[in-house]
Amino acid sequence: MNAAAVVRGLGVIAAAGLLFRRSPPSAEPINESARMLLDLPVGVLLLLDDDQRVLYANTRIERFLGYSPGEVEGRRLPELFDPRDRSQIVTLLQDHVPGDPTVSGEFRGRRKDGSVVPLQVVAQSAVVTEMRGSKVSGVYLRDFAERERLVEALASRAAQLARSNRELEQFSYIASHDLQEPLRMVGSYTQLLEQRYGPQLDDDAREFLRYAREGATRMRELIDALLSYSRLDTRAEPFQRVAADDVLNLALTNLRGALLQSGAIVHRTPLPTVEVDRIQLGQVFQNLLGNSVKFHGPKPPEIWVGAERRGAEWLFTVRDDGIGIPPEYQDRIFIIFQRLHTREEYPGTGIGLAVCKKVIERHGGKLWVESTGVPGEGTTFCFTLPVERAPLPSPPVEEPVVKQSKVEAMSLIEERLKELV
Amino acid sequence: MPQPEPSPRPVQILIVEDNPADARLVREVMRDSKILNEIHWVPDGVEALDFLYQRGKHAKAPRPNLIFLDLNMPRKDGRAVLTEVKADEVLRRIPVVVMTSSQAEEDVARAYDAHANCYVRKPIDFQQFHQVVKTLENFWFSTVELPVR
Repeated sequence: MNAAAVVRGLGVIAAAGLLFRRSPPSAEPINESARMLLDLPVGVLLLLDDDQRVLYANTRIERFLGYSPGEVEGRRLPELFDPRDRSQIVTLLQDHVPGDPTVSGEFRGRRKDGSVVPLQVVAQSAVVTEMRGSKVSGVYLRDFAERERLVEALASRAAQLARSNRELEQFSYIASHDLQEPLRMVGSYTQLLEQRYGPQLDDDAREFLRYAREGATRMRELIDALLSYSRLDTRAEPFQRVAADDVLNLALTNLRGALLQSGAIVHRTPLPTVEVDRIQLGQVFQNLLGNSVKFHGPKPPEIWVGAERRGAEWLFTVRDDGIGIPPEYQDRIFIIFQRLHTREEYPGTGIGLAVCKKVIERHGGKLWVESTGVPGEGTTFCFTLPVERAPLPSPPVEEPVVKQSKVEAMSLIEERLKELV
Repeated sequence: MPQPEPSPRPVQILIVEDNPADARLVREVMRDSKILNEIHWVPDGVEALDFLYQRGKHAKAPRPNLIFLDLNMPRKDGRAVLTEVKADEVLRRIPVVVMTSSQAEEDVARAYDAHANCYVRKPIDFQQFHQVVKTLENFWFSTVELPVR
């Protein structure tokens, strides 16, 4: 049993006591947010009077013992256990020294359907408070079997993730090697045919050959795009603090040709410093600005880039005055290879926005589009990045899966406690 | 720059490559070469060593002046062939050009560790492929000196 976890769990009881005391007995004893807190999935929390009767039980009891809170409230705690364990529980609660949590061994909890579930009782009367002239103490029930199940579920989930990561890496290799091979043959031999026999062929034959060659080229572009998409995770650089202005500068330099050709005007306001994979943020700027340049109306495009603070996040915007995106298509544009135009109208593979979305999401942000779809009213792409990147919890040395989940649950509780108490 | 004299005896090139279409591509590029050449093709590592040691149906095989070696092949792969060739006191003088579609850093490093003379990635575009084969031909048969035997 992890002693620290018990102590933390008891913090919940302390808070429950406080909440209980704050509410006048006549009023709703537990308010909505308190209920949410007390129902966090860490175990059954009970508040008992000095007769060991249940004053309050959180809804977790339903999963542990099959009773609803209403069904146990008013009953004595020992009644929820096997008759052979009852006297021990009575003693444990009576002998319990205030100020020091008493942790029991394993007791046989009796479920509503009569089946037995191994439970551990944690008594804590340091939080005793007065209510309706009666002392209230907190008791916490833990289920080892449940914990085991949780551990197993987490472990199998972790294994599943590791497997799918391996498959993704495998896929990258297949895409870069095995798929390129046959494609190289198609491309090379159609070129060789055109080169050597082109003059002897008629117009039809040359046209057919051209389509075959273009198909191979297109296929290669798609494979390259797929590969770069899958590498966003496998070939990522560590996050570092960079001036987003520098990242934008580089993106604009890379786009210089297209910007000059289209006569685009870019307006910009100063951008903040952010903690990112700078190459990937560069890709985002380049793809979004590239789209603005590409999808412009009859006149040269005008583009506005800016950022503003929104609480714990930076909100970046890239706005243009181009052809816009009708609302009915807006959820499709972030899917890989989805395109809204023929290649003759606007060339491209349809990877750009899928890459942007994946990059922003793996940085803990969101990316979305705002557009009326009316040509000339343009499109605004918005994305967020956290202002401060939360430091990762120190890596667990042993039992990584269990501790991690416990730490998360506990810090969540502590957060809620700070808000409430 | 003086043009290389067409040599009286053709240079012998061994292509070790499981894909016949790929081997043919090298042959097609070499067809227009100013250098008189003979191309020999074997589809895997086992036959490559038979050719080099003049065994079985390759008993009368000539000693190649240059080997184009693919890495991923059935039966015996290019890495194994490279290791055996470079461990042989006579065969190790033959320049081995590892030519593969793999761009894995590990493959590159391992090839040089095994004393490959160079590592070339097969370009996907035919024009580039043509260019690469021409460059190799020019380098190995016009620029550098090769051992007589």
